Amino acid sequence: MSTLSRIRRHAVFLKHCTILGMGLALLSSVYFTTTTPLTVDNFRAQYPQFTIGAALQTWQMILSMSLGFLSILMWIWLLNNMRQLFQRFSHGEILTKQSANHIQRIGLGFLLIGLWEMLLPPLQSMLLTLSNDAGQRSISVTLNSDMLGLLLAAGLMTLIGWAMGEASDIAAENKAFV
Amino acid sequence: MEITVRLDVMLALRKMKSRDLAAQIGITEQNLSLLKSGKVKGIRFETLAKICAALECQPGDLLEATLSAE
Repeated sequence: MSTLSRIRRHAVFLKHCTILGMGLALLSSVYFTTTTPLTVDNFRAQYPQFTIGAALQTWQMILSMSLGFLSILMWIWLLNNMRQLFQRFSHGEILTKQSANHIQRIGLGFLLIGLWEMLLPPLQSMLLTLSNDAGQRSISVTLNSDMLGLLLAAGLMTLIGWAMGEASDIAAENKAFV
Repeated sequence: MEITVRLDVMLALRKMKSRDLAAQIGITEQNLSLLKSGKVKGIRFETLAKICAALECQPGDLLEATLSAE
């Protein structure tokens, strides 16, 4: 089996996986939103690391949830770019500018998600403890290996995207030869 | 200085059709047409060798360096 046909076959499978991933992310968000009542107890259970006071307002809960959904939206955007890339690969469009652009966008997606995962805990902790009494408000800063992994993946994908851009230029030049 | 492709002249001298040459050397008629009109960036040595073999000529019979109008 040639490399091209192997790429095509795997790309079709991976395209379906990304579609499934997007669907699951969307469905789980909708399910979570519709089945979880906005109560202080629920938020305490969801964020045990924060000291959430009883004076938590509805707007704080909604804003905190919205910030969390931004992360899911970024993942969906990233998965959609992967889907488009695999779609192109499945049609044999490998060394093209469009494929290189998708890879660069995937790198950008990983970067944004990595940075957002770093920003989210401080923002949510600040928001959810804002109604606490003075001295009980907090800002939680977290750094874990997942975030660093995402940033490394971002760098890797961006570099591969640039390399693919170069390769697509060479491929286009080669096509101009008879 | 620019390179002019004189493939049409050689085809006429050998009384060969473009279609036959394309089939003989294994490239598409469209690519051969582009080559004849000089609308390609370059020609591979492999293709040039096949054309020379098919038309029994030398690369110099197919390519000519001419002074450009600029």
